[in-house]
Amino acid sequence: MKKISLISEATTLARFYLKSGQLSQEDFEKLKQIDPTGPDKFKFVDWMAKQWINKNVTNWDDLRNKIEEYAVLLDNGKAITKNIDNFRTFEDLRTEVDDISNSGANLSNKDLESDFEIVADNEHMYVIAPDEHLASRSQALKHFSHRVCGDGKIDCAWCTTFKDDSQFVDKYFVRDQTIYYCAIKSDELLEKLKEIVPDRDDCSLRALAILVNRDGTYTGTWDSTDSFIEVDTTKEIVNLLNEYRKK
Amino acid sequence: MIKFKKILSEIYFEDFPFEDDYKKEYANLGPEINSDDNIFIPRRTKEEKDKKLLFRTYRKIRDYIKNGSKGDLYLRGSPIEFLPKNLTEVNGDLILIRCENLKSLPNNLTVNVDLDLEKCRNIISLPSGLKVKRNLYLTNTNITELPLDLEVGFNIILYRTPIEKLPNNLIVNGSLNLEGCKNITSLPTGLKIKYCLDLRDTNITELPSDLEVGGSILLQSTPLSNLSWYEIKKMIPKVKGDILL
Repeated sequence: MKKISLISEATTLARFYLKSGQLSQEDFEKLKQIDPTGPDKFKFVDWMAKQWINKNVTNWDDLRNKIEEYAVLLDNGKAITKNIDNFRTFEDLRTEVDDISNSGANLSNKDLESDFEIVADNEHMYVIAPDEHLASRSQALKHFSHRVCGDGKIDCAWCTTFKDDSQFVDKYFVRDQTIYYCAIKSDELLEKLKEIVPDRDDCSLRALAILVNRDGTYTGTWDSTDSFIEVDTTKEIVNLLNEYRKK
Repeated sequence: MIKFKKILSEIYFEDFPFEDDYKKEYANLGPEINSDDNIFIPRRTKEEKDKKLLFRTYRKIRDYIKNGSKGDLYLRGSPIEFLPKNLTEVNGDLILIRCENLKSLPNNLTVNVDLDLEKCRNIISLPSGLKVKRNLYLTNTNITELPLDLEVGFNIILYRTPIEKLPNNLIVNGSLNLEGCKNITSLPTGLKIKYCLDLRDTNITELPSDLEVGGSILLQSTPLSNLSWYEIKKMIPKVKGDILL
């Protein structure tokens, strides 16, 4: 059941933090920008502001990714905690989101696993576009995994590759985006990429996920640690990868 | 494909040979031709994706009914045009947000918690016999009126709809939100609302004297907001909460 508010204004608490100097204007704008419920609702801004000023989360990518994943689970009826205010800390939210994302059935269907297209495969890179969640997941585990988990295993950090299919369905079907996974094979291409995004290390750039909208514009790029790379930089990355595809 | 269409026309899904059809029709759609210069382009047409998603949705509904219609049914963003006739009860939330192709709901449907039709822009009316035990969300649908026999247990949210009129003697056991409903100029007689009535940004020019509101009435950005608090209070003596102008 959804929480309904007919007269209360969203972002009341965040505005209070802003007025009292606990939250900067820049951070307030950023919180509004990453709230997936959008300007009509801003349902999560207050909660995020509280987490941010209390330093329960200090990384924008972490906050953006998890809050977006939570919103998708909520929209699909999979979130256990339906009201975000019931999460005491960001860590509580992260734990629930990760638990659900890893709790999908162990489905195996060879037809669906092979439902992807190899877009480029040469000595420099391997690029695929998955058309099914199972293909997205199985390919990611094979070719695009760089995150070391607590148990020492390696997995893929991108939400579209999680065991639960909600995030894939949301990006691929509902938002109608094309998802590209790129594995960077050659050191030569890796060095060129580092010139475009000098703040990332080698491991981060070994795998990239690029999301393309129906109109051909880019949503952005996520590196292997799931850290976001802005649209303008994405255009440069795309140009470079296109160039190396022909080499 | 013929079988798929035929079964769709029958509206019932029990005998749908999902897995076989899926493999034949929608899985492995085959390679697409790349652009020479840019490989990072939108792939698969919207229609292809919609077909796949439609298929997933039908499978989900079929399984939901098969399993006794227990719990919530979330179909957000699905390209579904209708729900099957044998979906008569949802024992949780029925979430149809952004089902932009959805044209109608089955008659005599009972939703035991919330029914959310937000942004279902092809919904212009509700079926007869609809019962929603908690909240009915109709935000940004194209609904113009409510059926006479509609039963809603708590709130009715008509935010930004082209609703033109409400049924006479409507009783709302929660709040009624009509904010941004530009086509509504008056309210029916016998309207009773337990909590709030939100009329902000409407073209309401008059209020019935028998209007009963247990909570506040919001009248900002309406022709009535030019009147004084006393004038409004005199017009609607049965409003118990604040009058916000």
